[in-house]
Formats: sequence, C-alpha cells, structure tokens
Amino acid sequence: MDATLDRELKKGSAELLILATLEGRPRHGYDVAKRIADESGGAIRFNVASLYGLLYRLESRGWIRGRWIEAPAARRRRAYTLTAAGRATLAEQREGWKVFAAAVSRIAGVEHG
Amino acid sequence: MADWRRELDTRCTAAALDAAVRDDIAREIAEHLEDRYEDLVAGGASPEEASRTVVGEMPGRDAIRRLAQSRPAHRARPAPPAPPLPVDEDGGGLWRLATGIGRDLLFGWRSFRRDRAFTAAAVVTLAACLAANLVVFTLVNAVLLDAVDVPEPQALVQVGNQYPNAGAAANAGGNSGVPDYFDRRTAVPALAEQALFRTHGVSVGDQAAERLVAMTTTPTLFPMLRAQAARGRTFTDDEGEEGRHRKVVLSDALWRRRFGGAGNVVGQPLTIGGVPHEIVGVMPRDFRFYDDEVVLWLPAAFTAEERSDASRHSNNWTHVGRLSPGATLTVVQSQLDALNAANLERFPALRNVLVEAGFRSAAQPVVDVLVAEVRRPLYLLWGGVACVLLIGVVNLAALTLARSTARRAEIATRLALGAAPARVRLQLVTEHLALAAAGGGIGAAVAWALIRGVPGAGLALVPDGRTVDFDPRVWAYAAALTVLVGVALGVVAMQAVAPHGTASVLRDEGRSRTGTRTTRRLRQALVVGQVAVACTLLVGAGILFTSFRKLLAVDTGFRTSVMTGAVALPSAAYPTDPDRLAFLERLLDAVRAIPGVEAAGATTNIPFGTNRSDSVAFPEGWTPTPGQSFVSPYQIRVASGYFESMGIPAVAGRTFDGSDVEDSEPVVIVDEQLAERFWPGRDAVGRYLLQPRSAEALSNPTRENMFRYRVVGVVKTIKQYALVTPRDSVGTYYFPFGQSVPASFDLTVQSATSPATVEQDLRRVLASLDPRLPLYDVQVMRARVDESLRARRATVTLSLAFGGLALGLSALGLYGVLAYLVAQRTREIGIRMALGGSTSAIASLVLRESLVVVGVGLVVGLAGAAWLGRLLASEMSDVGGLEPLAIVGAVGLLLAAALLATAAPARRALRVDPAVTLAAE
Repeated sequence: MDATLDRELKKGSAELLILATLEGRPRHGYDVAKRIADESGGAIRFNVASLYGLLYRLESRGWIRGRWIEAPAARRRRAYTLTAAGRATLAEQREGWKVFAAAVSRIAGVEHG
Repeated sequence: MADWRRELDTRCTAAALDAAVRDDIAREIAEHLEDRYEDLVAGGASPEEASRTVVGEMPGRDAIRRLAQSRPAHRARPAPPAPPLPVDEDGGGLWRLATGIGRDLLFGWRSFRRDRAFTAAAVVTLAACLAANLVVFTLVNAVLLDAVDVPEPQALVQVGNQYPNAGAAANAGGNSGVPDYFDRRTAVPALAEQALFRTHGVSVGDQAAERLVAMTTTPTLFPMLRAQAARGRTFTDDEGEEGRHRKVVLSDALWRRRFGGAGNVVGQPLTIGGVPHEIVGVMPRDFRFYDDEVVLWLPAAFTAEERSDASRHSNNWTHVGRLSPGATLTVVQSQLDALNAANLERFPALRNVLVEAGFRSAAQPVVDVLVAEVRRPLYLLWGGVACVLLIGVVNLAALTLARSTARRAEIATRLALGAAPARVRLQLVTEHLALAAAGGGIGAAVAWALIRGVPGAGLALVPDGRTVDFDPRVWAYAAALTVLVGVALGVVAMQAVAPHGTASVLRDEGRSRTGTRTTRRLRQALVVGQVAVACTLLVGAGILFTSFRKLLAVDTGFRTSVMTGAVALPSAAYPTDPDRLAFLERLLDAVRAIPGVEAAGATTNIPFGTNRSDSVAFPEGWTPTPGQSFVSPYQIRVASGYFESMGIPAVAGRTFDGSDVEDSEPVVIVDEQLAERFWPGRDAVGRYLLQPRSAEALSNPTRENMFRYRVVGVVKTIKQYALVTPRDSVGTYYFPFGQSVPASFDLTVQSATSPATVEQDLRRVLASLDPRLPLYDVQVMRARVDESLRARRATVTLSLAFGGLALGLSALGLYGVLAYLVAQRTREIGIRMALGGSTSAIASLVLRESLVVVGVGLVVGLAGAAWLGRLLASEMSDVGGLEPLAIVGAVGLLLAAALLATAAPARRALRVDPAVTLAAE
C-alpha cells in the first residue's frame, strides 16, 4: 500500500477513535491513549507527540475542548470534552467508516459481523 | 529527582518555548508521563526501569517544538482553572481520597524501600523509644490510674491521726481508732458514708490450716465502695454486732482455689482462727480495695472496751469515707478540725500531750495514699522516658529533613508540573504515619513481650497481686504516640514543600542549596538540645544509681543469712497465755535441736516485715517541759535467743533469758538510739521505762496508771523497716515473750545448713508438734531486705536503661550533624587540601564542630541536672543531690560517645580526594 494512503487512513481512523473515546465522559490525554490501547488489545498505540498533536488539532477545529481540572487530593490535569460540533463530526465519521469498512470487506472478501 | 523528569526539563528547555506555552504543554506532557511512570512502577518495574521507559517514550526537542506550534490558538493565555469535574461513575470524593491514600501508601512503601538505611534507622529508633514509653505507661496505668478500682474513686477520702512530734507513730500500721469512727460519723457529715477496717493474717481451715490475709471491716464498706457480691451478699448492718459477726465474704480467687468455684458455697461453714464462720457471699473477680492480698472479709464487731474513751489514740484501724455530694476535701478537713478542737475540750487530761505531739487528723484522697510510695518514682520515670522519645524524634526529624531536602527538587518538579500542594502534603503525612506505625507496632510488640515475659522488667514497681497488662488504655496511648510522631515527621517533611519557591529550588538543583546554612544551624541546635537532655537524664540515672549503691552497702545491723518463718496460734486451740508460751518454748527447743542450728529465737515484728507497732514510753522521772512531746518508739516483743540468732549484740547489760517470766520483775531492753535519747550520756541499764495504761494517764503519771519496766540491757540499733531510717525515728524497745506472750510470731533461725534444708527441718518440727499449724512467709532475711529495695531497684534499672538509650540516640544525632557537615563541605575540604591544608587543620574542622555542639549541650545539660538533683533529693530522703560520681560518669560517657560519633565523619573528611570533588562540581 502506498505510504501516503496508509498515513491518511490511520489519521482518519485515529481522529474517529479519539472522538469516540471522549463520547460519554471527559478524559485526559493519558486516559484516552490508555483506553484505546486497552480496547484494541494493544494493537493501536499512540506515541506521546502524535497523541497530543491529534488532540491539539481536534481542539483547534473546535471538536473537543481541553480544560485544566483541579480536583482536591488529585493532580492537575487537562481533561478533554466532546463539543457539540465534535459530536456531529463523530456521528458523521462513524457513518462514513461503516460504509468504508463494508466496502473494503466486500471487495476483500472478509466476513464482517 | 527521577531521571525522566530532569530529561523532560532539559528537552523543554532545548525546545526554547516561551513561558506560557511551556507551562501549558510541558505540564500536560509531564502529567502524562507521570501517569505512565506510576503505572509502570505499579506494574512491577523498578523506578530505574520505569524512568528509562518513560525517557524512551518522551517526545524529542523537535517534536515538542512542533507540538507547541500546533497548539490551539485560543489557548494564547492559560485559562483560569475550571471547576472540578463532576463526580463520574468511578465513585465519590471519599472513594477517590481512599484510593489516593492507598496509592500514597504504595508510593511511600516504594520510597522507603529505596531508602533502606533511613527506614531501618527510623523504625528501630521509634520501636525502642515507643517500647520504653509503653512499658512505663503500662506501669503508670496499672499503678496510678487503676489504684482504686471502684466507682468515683476520687470521692474516697482517708482520715488519719498524725502526731508529728511523737516520732514513728505517723508511719506505723493503722492511723485511726474506733472512738474516732463513731465521733466522725456524726461530726463529719461531709463524709456521707464511712467505714473502718484493718487487714491482718488469719489461719483458715481445720487440719493443715493455711495463713491468709483478711480484712475486718464495718459492714458499711461494701455499700460505700458501691460493691456487691457476685454470689450471696455482703454484710448486713447487724452483722457488725458481737454474737452475729461470725460471717465471712470470700474473694473470687479464694472461692475458686478452696472451693473449686462451687455454686453452693454460700451458707457453708469455714473455720477461721479455729472458729467456724458462715460464708455469706463471694465478691466479683475484679473486686479489690486497699490491699490486693486480701482474700476474705470479716465483719468488725467492736467490743465495749474498743468503743470506750480509754482506747482513744490507739490507732489500729484505717478510716475511709465517701464525700457527700458537693462536699470537698477542705470541708471534710474543717469538720475534722472542729471535731478535734471540741474533743480537746471534752478530754482536758489529754490536751497538753496532744498539743505538744502536734496532733491533728488529716483527710487525704485514698488514691494518693495508696500510691504515695511509687507515685513520685513513676512520674519521674514517665518524664524521663518522654525525654528519650523526644531525643529519638529529634533524630528522626533531622533525618527526615535531610531526606526531604534531597527530595525537595523532586517534589518541586511535581508541583511545577501541576501536582496539587494539598495532595503532596497528604502524601507526605501518609508516608510518615505509615513509618511511625511500623515503629510503633514493633515497639508495642516489644513492650508487650517485656511486660508479659520478663517478670523483672520494672514490674517490681507494682504491688503484689496487681496484674499489669496491656489494656485498651495502653493501646490507645500507643496509638496516640504513634500518630503524634507520624504527623510530626510528616510536618517536618512538608518543610520541603511549603516555604520555598518551587522555581528557586529547581534552579538550585544539583548545586549547593540556599537555606543550607539555616538548616545546619537548626540541626546544631537540635543536637545541642539532645546532648543536654541526655546529659540531664544520665546524671539523674547516675544519682539514683550511686545512692542505690550506697543503700546496698548500708549495714542492717543484723545477720542477713537468718532464716525466718511465721507461725500463728489459733485462740481456739491455744486460749491462754500459758498454753501459747508452753508451745512456743517446746517449738524453740525443738528448733534448737535441729542439726546445724546455731541459734533460734522469735519476734512479733520481723525486721523489714509488714507488722509494725509503736507505743508511747518515757523514762521514769521525766516530765515534758513546754514544747516537748512524748514520743512513740517502736515496740517489739521477742523470745529469748532472738538477739543471738539475729546477731544483734548487747552493748550493755544482758539479753532476755528463761528468767524473764510472768512472775518476775517486768523488764525491757532498749536499743542504743532510744537509750541515747532517754538517758543521754548515762548508763541505761537498771533505770526504769514507763508506759501509760491509757492516753489520759500521760497528763498525770502515777504508779497506778503506768506500766513500769526495768531496763536490763541495751542492744545495737538495727534497721527495722527500711535501709533508710525515717528522719523522725526515735528508736525501739523490746519486751520478752515470757512476760507478754504473742499469738503469732516469726521464728528467727541461724543455721550452718542451707536455707532449703532449714526450711524443710522447720516444717517437719512444727508438724511434729502441731500438724494443724502452717509455717508461712518463709524467707531468708536477705530476701526481705531485697524486697524492701524492689521499687528502688526497678527505678534505678529503668532509669539507667533510659539513660543509656538517651546516650545512644544523642550520639547518633551528633553523628548525623557531623556527617552532614562533612558532606556539605566536601568541596571546601577538597579545595583546602588542594591548597595544601594540613590533615590536622581539616580534622580540627570536624572536631571543632563536635566540641561546640557537645560543649554547649553539656553546659545546658548540667544545669538541668542540678535542677533534677534537687528534685530527686527532695523526693528521696537518702539522695543527697548532685553526686560528683554521677556527673563525672555522665560527662565521661557523653564525651566518649561524642568521640565515637566524630571519628567516622572526621575520617571521611580526611579521605576527601581534591581531584574528585572539584571535578564533580
């Protein structure tokens, strides 16, 4: 596969993964990465620079919002929350991913459940 | 500082971010890496491995710079902190706090495991100090706090007659009389309930009777103490009348031992002193009052003679009352004074005698009376051992401070990276509480083992029969001390967090830190304090030790190898004087016939025993001038052969022999002290000693109202009841058994054979004469003397142990300060050496520091010791204040310890390699 396509694919799916992880509750960066790694059984891992690069990009687009949270007896952390725009994007990307995945499965002959 | 944090700092610096961006991005990355690091460590990685992994995953300088560029534009300024997150499904704040503390403990455990030396030193120091404190507190708890185990013990008041100018009377036996009791029941309403009692030995059983301690008491005692029988009942009021008084109440212990805890014991007969008594009740297991050895109670039925005015000032009883609601000791005292003043008018014949004797009746809390002897030593020990804990905690504080200084950079980084200060503080306190708990746990275990396992571990301070154990109060005390120490250390550790600007410490990371000088001064001051307290404690222990050694060297005046054992003749079997005398003579003859026995005698008041008696006597022809009081010397009855067996020599005249019988002239022997008092500079032998037939006779002595005894001998003065003769002691006079036959006595046997053999022989001889009679309280005189030193010996042993602990701890403290000094000044020492500084100059740098600290500490400590010496001298009559030997010993020990503590740091200073130190900087 072409290296550029690979990168774009990954990037697109990574954005989807982060938005999906933030759906339902705010999380801080480490939590996001850890959850994705855990849920994927370790198949998908982010390095620190690309994780925060992605988060900053999503925030710049207004899809998520980061805030420093100060809780008693806990460390200060920046937690990211899904915005309304983010929620809309997530729904859109989910739909797109379904269509894309179904197409890939059909062509590659993979059973998809 | 963990390596990864330093590395992150370096990379961020290299990325040349502007301050606001750095604060924003670097902090977020640091938080991320901190989480990662903690997860790795929690997953079992060593801190080094975890740090390596984190560094490996850390973005490089360029990546950080790119991140900074992609940072959302609206974050131009750091936004103000948002309100806390709403509670999510992870649970409430309490849960988060709990899991947070759990993580702190884990973190603390790891951090202490890294600092093995610190942890070991801290735990051992705490364990030793807390064990010592708990041992003493257990004693304090058992003796002082539990002295009177009845409801509202503070309301119990003892009333006693005192005759301060009359000599030993104030110290002897009971101190109240039967007529006083009836007077006070009406004239002292501030004591709503009152009771009169005395303890004495009784023979219990028909065949092979055993000798037990009984308390004869007015039936009012039990209601006054709010005590009820566990089975049956206590006495009814009419059982305090003659004819109805053959009743007995048993202790739980006696009931179980003698009756196997039988349920039907109430109503059964028990032979006491040869007379059957009916058992009416059994007291609860934990009931005890006044004398822990009492195992049965008998109702007091006073005879008409006992109630009569003739027996006034015959003080054989103890009088205790319970304060009326709202009444105070002062009210009781004023009512007593009014009563006594009225009695002086009622009995004018006694007036002068009593006034000169300084007579008064004093009211004191029972609690104070019971613990009078051991209270002061225990409080002194408590104070001493608290000082030891103080020294130990100061050491730990210094260690913690040093450790926190080393961790300061780490903590500052965490703070700079966004950790909440409250969070860090909580973690420090949690950590040190855990440390204190470890030390406290081990200390409590050690103290528990000492109290349980080592009978000599200071338990000698506790009266016989008293159980000493860890009760909830001791555990609570242990927990309180542990928490106190833990929080104190945590607060010290917080110094690393609170006052210093985090930035300044970060900048200073790795170089000599600001505040070093203040820290050093503070540590010096702490060690000066330690040396001072240790010095005071050591001198105090030394004073106790030297005075104790002097006490051991005191000549008792009698042979301590003499074997003694008590015999009591029940009045049922031996009703008359001649019966008793005949038995006594047969017994002594049989004892003297035992092979190896060199001399045998008997006495009513064995030296260092519990039986004391004194009675007013004066030389014939003497009348008190105004300001002079009659005196009340010890009065003792002895068998012929007593002085010979005890090795008490006659210095004039003769000792008693078979010629001193009922029909012959009444005779008396006095000791040298009394002879010198009554007939100073003259020969006492052949003169007459008078004893009043009643107290009233003293105002107008005549041939009729006086007993008259011819002095036939003067014997050497011996120590009667203690190695320290009471200041107001006036001497002793002795009567012969032949003219005054006792119902119970102690045999005194000087034998060439071993004590065990003598004891066996004595029991055999006694059984052959009357198998019903037990021989009890069998002891060699030396054991009796030792017994009298029990509390003293325990105090000395404990104070020496604490002094030693204080010495060791302060030496460690000194070592710490010097080692710190050398470590801090390694560079300076290196430069000096490079510049050709002589070894002696460098050694003197360390020595000077040591000398200043120890010198100042000693000066302060000796001032404290002077104060302590005065305190001890005022508490114990045989302690003469500052003992030179104690001072020399304490100073010598401290200097030796200081030398040891100085040697290692000095050697380290001399080994400094200039090239290495300078390169390191």
